[in-house]
Amino acid sequence: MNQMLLLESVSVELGGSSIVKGVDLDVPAGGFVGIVGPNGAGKTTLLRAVVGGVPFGGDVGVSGQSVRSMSRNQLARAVALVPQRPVIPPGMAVSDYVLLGRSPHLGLLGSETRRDLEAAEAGLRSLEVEGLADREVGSLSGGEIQRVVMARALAQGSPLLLLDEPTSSLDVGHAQRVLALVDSMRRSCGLTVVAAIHDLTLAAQFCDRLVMMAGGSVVAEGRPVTVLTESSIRAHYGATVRVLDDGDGRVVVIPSREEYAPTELDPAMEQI
Amino acid sequence: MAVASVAPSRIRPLHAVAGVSTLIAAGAAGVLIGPAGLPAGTALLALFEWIPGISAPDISSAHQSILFSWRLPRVALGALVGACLAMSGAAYQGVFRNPLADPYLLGAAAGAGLGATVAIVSGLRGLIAISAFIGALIAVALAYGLGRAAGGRSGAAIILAGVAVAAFLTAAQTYLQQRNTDTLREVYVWILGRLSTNGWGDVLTLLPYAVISGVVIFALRRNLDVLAVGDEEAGTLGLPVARIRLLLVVAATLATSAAVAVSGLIGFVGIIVPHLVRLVAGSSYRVVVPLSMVFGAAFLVLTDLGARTVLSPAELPIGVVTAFLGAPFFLLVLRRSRRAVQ
Repeated sequence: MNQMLLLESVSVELGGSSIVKGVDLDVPAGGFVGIVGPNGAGKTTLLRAVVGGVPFGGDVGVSGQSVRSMSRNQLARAVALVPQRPVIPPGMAVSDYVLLGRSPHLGLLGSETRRDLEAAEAGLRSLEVEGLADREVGSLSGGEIQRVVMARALAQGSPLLLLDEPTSSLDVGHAQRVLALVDSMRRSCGLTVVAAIHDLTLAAQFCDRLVMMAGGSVVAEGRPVTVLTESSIRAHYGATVRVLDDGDGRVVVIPSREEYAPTELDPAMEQI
Repeated sequence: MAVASVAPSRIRPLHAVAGVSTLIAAGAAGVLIGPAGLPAGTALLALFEWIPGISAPDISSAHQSILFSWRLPRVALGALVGACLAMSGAAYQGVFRNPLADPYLLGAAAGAGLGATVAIVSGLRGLIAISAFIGALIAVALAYGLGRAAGGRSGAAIILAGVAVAAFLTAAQTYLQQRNTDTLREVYVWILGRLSTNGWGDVLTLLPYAVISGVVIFALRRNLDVLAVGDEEAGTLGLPVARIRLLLVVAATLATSAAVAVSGLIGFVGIIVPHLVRLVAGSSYRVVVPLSMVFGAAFLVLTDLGARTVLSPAELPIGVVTAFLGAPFFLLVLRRSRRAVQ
């Protein structure tokens, strides 16, 4: 299978701290790779490095070409990113916002053709938000905004889609539908998806391969059933969970309550 | 096949008609009304005398001169300065994603003020405009360069550098002004802003800058919408953020500096007109940039008419009138649009 994304010893330093440390990753075309890991593991920074949002060491290749040799426009046509906390411009209509996704196809002085409008509309329809086209983005609910941002990324028409916590503001139904949609787009349009996902069960259900990061490095990689084990989650998240194997290599991760036993009571608490 | 429901923001016909007719009405009022005792009907006939069959037999050569060498160029200058300041304000607001940005954000006013003051106190009155122009350009170049050096690609660092440069240049200008009390009034009058009455000279000076800057800002207006999602996201959408920002800042600064050089410091237009347009016609820069040009031109022609007729034959400083008329009008529109939203 063709290779879509190749990271070779990618490192990122921000403000003097090493955030990503020598990450290697190989994502085949058509793959759905989930990046999991505790807060501060470097997942978001790794995705930002791929789209040139932060300076990085090592190399990133997309479709066999190093991103260092690509112009901003070329890179944007190859990779679309759905950021975790997108900037919502005050007063901007959903139509205008989704059309921003067509920007890499227009050039600095161009304006949208019928094809661009259709791509934007297809993006909105896929996310079931076509009825919101005339609304202001800022007036939408968190879940609607998330879907509109995703529609912008789909309208971009890039073969590699990076999602940074795509389901963080969605209820369980919308979260499932969005990931199912991404999965079906991947199959029908040949998209390759790399998603940083907090919800381990959703990650395990939808991704065919998981990469677990901790402290800026990759600590486990492979099929969900091999990456998401009770011991690896305890070691890297400090969490107690039960992992149930549903039989076809997918797993379900259930947090289980651990009795909290403070070793020593805080003197301030004693006085209360 | 279903009609696409997605369409980019465009100027609505109603807004285009309103803008053009306001500008035409403002221009007509500016040309036809004045304290010279020239009847409006005669002036109108004289304006169209070049059309076969129309003649203005009653007009004296003095009135003809008032009409063609005084009122007409003054209206044209007002329209150009207003368009320059309003479109530059809109461009700065978009480039720096700051609704309070105005054309003087990066120190153009302070630089122009210092330049004009240097020319006045040195007795080089013929060089006031060019000195103000150069002062404004140097100030913005300093702010941009220092901001880039300090904060990399961040827009906030450039704005902060602009604040520091403006403070420094204003201090130098104030020092110079206080050391030369004999020219204090002259400096003060220049700083308050006025549209000159020296025929077509200022119009022809400003015209090329207004046209070049206007074409650049108009052509790049869609990119201002892309910049609205922030530098990093705009970069992931393929926009060469630093290059676009520099292009737009250069265009807006050229227009502002040229406008300031011929008119002094006229505040308020660059911040109020784009916001007025946003409240009425939406926030996309595809709409805000062209409508700001048209309404900025009309606004300044009308305020200039007020400035020279309210206390006729004395003239009010135009900067005073822009704030005096513009602020209540803006508050009215703001109130109405809020009510409509609720």
